[in-house]
Amino acid sequence: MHISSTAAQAVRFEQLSKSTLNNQQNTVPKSTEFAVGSATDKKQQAAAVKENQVAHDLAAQTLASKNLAVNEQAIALFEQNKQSQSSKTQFSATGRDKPSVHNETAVASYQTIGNLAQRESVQHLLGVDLFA
Amino acid sequence: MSKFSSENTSHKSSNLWQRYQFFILLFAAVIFRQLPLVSIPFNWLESYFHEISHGIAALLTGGKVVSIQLFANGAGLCTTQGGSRLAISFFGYAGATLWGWGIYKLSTMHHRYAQAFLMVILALLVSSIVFWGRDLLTWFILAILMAVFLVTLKVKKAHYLQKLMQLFGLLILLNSLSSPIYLLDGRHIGDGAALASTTFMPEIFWVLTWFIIALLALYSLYKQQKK
Repeated sequence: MHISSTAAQAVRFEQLSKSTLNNQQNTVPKSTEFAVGSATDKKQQAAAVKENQVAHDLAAQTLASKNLAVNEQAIALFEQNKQSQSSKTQFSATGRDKPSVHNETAVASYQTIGNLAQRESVQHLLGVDLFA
Repeated sequence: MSKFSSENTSHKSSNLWQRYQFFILLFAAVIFRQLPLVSIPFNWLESYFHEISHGIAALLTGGKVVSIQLFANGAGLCTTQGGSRLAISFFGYAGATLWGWGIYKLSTMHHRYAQAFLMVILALLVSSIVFWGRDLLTWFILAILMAVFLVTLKVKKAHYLQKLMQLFGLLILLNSLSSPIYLLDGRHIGDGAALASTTFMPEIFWVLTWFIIALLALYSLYKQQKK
């Protein structure tokens, strides 16, 4: 009963390790074979279980570390979203009728072109020259 | 015998002064320009005559002077509106030369003429303060220049007044002789560059023209002294 469960664990681990770690793929099946083949010897069983557990722990650790890395990225993204959302809410709190940032940029660039033309016409109108 | 010899020596020295007066004054002007603090008001003087010449050219060609700015380092700026750009650009250096030449020339005339000319310059300085000066530094520089001319006007002895005015004239002339050379710095800015862009004549042509005008003015004063 105990043996089969450990064997099942080892098999499950093998499936996991196949998808995650290629380096440990060679070490884990060896241990499962050994665990199934020597079911009568208790000492060997215990050793096999221990070995399985260690291998399982190792795989779990690597999986966890990989997951943590993904989580860090997600946290950074989340923080960024949170910040932009908070700034948006600040804008909306100060002025409800204020246009969005995109609209403001569009209007500003449109006005810049208009101002350039206006400046040129003013310069032409004034016709001021500088002599040093 | 001794009386005769002393009279002879004084006659000789006055004769020497008469002969080389122009060169002595020119040498004095060169020395003045080298002195660290004393030369500053004379730099302002040349700068003022340069800028006012731009202004007068603008007024004569139908434009108007917006402002005149003078800086402590001897630089200046004249803002005009309308008028002939060609004439305004050209008369900066050429005008300063004419002012220097005129001051020297008029000083050799009657004492009254010299004083009248000084009054004209003073009136110009006052109108510059009132109409065209826009900042404290310009007003301060113009006030110093006014003080210089007022002191000159107060000189009672015609001889000293004459020599002072001649020295001023030579200082302005020397400045307008050397100033255009600074335009040849490859940066293509200033009056030479403005004229080059207006007339399609290279900047060096205008620099040489101003230099030759200043040289001719000096030569004309030397010739007059010789007579």
